[in-house]
Amino acid sequence: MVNKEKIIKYLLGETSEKESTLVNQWLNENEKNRKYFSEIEFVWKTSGIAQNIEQNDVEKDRKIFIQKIGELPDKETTKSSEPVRRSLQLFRSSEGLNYYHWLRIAAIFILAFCLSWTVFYFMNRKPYTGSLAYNQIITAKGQKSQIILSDGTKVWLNSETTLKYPSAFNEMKREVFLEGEAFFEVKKKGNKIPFVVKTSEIDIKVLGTSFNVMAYPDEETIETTVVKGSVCIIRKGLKSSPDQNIILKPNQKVTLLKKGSRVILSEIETEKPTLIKSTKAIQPISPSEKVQILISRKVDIELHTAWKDDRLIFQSETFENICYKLERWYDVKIHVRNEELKKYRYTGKFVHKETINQVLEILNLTTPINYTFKQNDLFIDKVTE
Amino acid sequence: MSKHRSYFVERLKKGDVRAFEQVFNTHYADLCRFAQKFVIELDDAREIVQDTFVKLWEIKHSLSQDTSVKSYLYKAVRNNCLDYLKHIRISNEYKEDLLRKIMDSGFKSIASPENCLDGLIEKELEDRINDAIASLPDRCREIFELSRFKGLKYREIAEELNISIKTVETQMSRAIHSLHKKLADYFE
Repeated sequence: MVNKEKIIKYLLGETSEKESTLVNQWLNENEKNRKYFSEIEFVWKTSGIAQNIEQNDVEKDRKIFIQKIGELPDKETTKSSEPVRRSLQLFRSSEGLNYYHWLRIAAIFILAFCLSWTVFYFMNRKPYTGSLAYNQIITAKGQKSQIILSDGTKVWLNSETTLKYPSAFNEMKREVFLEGEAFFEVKKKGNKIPFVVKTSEIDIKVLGTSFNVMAYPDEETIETTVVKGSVCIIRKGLKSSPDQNIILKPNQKVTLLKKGSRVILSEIETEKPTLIKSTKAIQPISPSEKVQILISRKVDIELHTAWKDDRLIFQSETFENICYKLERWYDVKIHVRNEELKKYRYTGKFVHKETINQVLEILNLTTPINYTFKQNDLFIDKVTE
Repeated sequence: MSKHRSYFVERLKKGDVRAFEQVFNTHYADLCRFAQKFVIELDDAREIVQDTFVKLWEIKHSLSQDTSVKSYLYKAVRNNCLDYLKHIRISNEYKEDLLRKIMDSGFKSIASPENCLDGLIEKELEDRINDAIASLPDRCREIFELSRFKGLKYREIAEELNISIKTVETQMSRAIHSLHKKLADYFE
């Protein structure tokens, strides 16, 4: 029996020999079958139009292009060669012009050069020296904020976060600098003006997507989680090899271990990570260096973006990590005076804007803890029986 | 503006690699999308556009200062795509069918680069395919894209997503059925 599934399999070369024979027989049966088949084929093939070239590939191709033209002999002296002759028909031929023509052209060039230099110098000074006027928004501990950038991109800032952004983006690039945690909803600007979030160790390049970046200076990792669209992660110091960039799709998260970090990835990762199969993406910067990047698929988006809706969520997180979060969330300084306690893991949600006391009381239900406030300092002990 | 252009063309003529890099950066992605309208497959499009840029490098000395590099590139890419399709036509009757269908279905205007320079590319089919794919359920779309765009085999998709091959088959069939329905009026 030939059904739709089989036709598609056949089209994709997934059928066994026996199945292929069946489909061929079915095709030979009547015109109706053949028409149906050709429609499915048309749908399949034309759907390729929807595939967009990724920034990654553009960079790869540019490298190839630059390399290719570097290898080609310069044809200045071989003007009569075949391709040149053909192109001469395309454009106005410059042969047969007399001396005065050349002089005129030269004069035009000099004038044009001077003019364009002047125009460039005075009009484009800012974008060319890169000295855009930057604004900075800083959230303190216990604060959150939201901002809409000049291109329409929406940014949510978590506590203790600094975002540096130009007051107006220039036409070629959109770049912001982040320290801390932020959620971006990037407005797409055509296909060629990427939005780049720069952090201490990675750049995150996108077109139009939503994603969360966590890059606190005091955390050992930088995490990027994609909600919509795709993003390209570029590690600093790896500029020379664009194929080491990582493309992230929705529901994927990349965790980058900062240089000199003591943490072992398998310990911090709790979401059943799948190491990316292609080794190119996890090539260490130097051979001696351990793999520092982990890509998780199918991550729980909510876990990483809940903060922007004032929801505090932990999933199998160590007490130590939870304390970091609580410190930023409630603007307190937490001192845990029990090493064992730091390693305990908790899962839970606080979605009703609980106070820190309420949170501590709930934690107390699972593991008995003692806590005392001294002004802004919070001391936590484990209760030992 | 034209002075700016001639200054720029002059840099190209001199073989200024950075100027070429700049042209590449500005136009490459758009040209790939443009070429894709003819040859469909992104990889083919990339190859054609890449070759066109290399050709531009080869003929740089014969550029005249009033050349619009942009319209040269679009014109050349279009010609190269048509050449490619002509070459393909001999070996693959499907392509002929496709070309005819595309040309018949309001795609005639892509034959003239001026239109696309104005941003007036006939986008209907493209938009409809995009919409149709976007409206697939998430899982279904993910599987479809892995197959169509990443070229993964059913087995590889099943492994990657940790699902059974049977599920991949079902989802693929669902995806294509849905696209087929959405494009139904192309097949009268």
